[in-house]
Amino acid sequence: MEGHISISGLSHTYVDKDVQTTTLIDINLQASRGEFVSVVGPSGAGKTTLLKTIGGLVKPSIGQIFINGNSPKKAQRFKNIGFMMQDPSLIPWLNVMKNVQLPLKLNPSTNQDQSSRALEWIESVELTDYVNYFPHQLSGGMKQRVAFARAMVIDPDIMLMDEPLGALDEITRSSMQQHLLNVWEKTGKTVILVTHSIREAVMMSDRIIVLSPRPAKIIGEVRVNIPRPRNERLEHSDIFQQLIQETKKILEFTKTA
Amino acid sequence: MKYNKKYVVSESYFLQHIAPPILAMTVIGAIWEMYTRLAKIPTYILPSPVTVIDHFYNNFSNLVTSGGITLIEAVAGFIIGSTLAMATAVLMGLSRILERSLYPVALLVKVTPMVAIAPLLVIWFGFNMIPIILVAAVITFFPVMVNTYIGLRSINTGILDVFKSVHASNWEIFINLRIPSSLPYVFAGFRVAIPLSVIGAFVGEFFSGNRGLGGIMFVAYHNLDMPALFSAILILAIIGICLTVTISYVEKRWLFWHESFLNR
Ligand SMILES: Nc1ncnc2c1ncn2[C@@H]1O[C@H](COP(=O)(O)OP(=O)(O)O)[C@@H](O)[C@H]1O
Ligand SMILES: [Mg+2]
Repeated sequence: MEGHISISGLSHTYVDKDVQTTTLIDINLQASRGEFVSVVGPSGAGKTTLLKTIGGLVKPSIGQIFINGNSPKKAQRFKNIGFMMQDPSLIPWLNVMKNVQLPLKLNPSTNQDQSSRALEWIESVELTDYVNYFPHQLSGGMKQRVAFARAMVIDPDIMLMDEPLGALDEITRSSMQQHLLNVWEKTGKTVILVTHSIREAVMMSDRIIVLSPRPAKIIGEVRVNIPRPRNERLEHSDIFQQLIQETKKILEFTKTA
Repeated sequence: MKYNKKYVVSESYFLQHIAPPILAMTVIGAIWEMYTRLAKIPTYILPSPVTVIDHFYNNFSNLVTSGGITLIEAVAGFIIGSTLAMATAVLMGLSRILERSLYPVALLVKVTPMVAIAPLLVIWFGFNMIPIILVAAVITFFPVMVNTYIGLRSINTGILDVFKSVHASNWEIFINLRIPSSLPYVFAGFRVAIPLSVIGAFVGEFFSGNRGLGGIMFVAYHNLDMPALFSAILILAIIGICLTVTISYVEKRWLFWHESFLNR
């Protein structure tokens, strides 16, 4: 059961004063342990909302979500969920070390050795020289790496990542992709990655879920049967290009429809 | 530590930032001195700078002692007022009823000249330090309370989500997120309240008539002792400046991470 996500009949409508925004309609989705699932869709569709409902940050209007057979709230309590927000959301008054330690300090569960665990993840994202730096002293890519270390430090079963590389330049982005892939292959966590880059989705995932414009419905699914480990050279292969075209076609179909 | 820049008063800094105001004050002082001499303005209308400096020098210890009393009253009032203000803001954050009833009142009181209650307090509490500290505390209270309250609510929703995603308790969120997030607002409140507390102490003393710089000015006012009035004003100004510089220094140390201190 560990790392298993099950979503059934999920719909969500935001109610903000008297404005209602229906964002998700009848989402059904399963992810099994260790699976890497990407979600693509037009901006404003409801991707962030979907991720937040899975992470227990937004309570859905209708439908059920189970993580390891538990409700998202319970999964939060067990620290089963690593969440990477759309922007790094680092705490500006804490240095890199303290930012990464934060999830261990909050809702403390066992007597984990906080500093050595945090340091391991800071090392893994190659920021050892920056442990005493504050967020405003870091570049965009470095901030995202800190956010990644912070999400991983609790050793969650599932990782929810909301366009984590969206704001990065091309080069930083592709090296971060490789880094994420390496870590994922080593740790075997279940990943749900929201991205607006089809290229990224194909490169990283086992499966791509395509959403319609808001209100988001699942309008297609693309299986990425490319063997791993994968690297940048893949981008020139035929199968890679075919999968990109296939995903694009599903996305474009809804625009005209 | 890279963020902890040391500010060295370099030669160019002196030329750019320190020399011009000194020069301006010297010029104004010289014109003022010449004007009072050439136009033969009597001292009880406008004393010349030299007369003021002379008085200042001859009454230095009395002025400093009185200034010390005013300073202590202002700081005591500021500390009491802002402590109560922050506590009230926290309670308002916890209780809807308290917020609904107190906050609108606080907003109204904040924009009224509360210093006008000084004579009342002096009549009620007598000619001692208590009413004076109270005046300073009361006028400190409202800006700090309103700002703290706003600050406690001004949290980054992304960071809040990070806390919630590991099921942090409300207490953990309060201590680790709300309080630090409120500090920039709290300090903005302090910067408004500091000169107000000095004004409060001074006005309180003026109505008491027997202590501090307000007392000196009360007596000097009735005697048309212009050099004494000017000397007291000078000390008041110095107190205000010193307190503001102190609070700005603490603010800079604590809020180095805040936008307002970056890119400077
Ligand atoms: N807290 C909220 N209250 C009301 N409406 C919201 C809220 N958050 C998002 N929305 C709306 O829901 C829709 C989907 O938003 P979002 O999930 O952020 O889309 P995406 O991540 O795909 O760009 C948008 O129209 C947005 O305006
Ligand atoms: Mg989004």
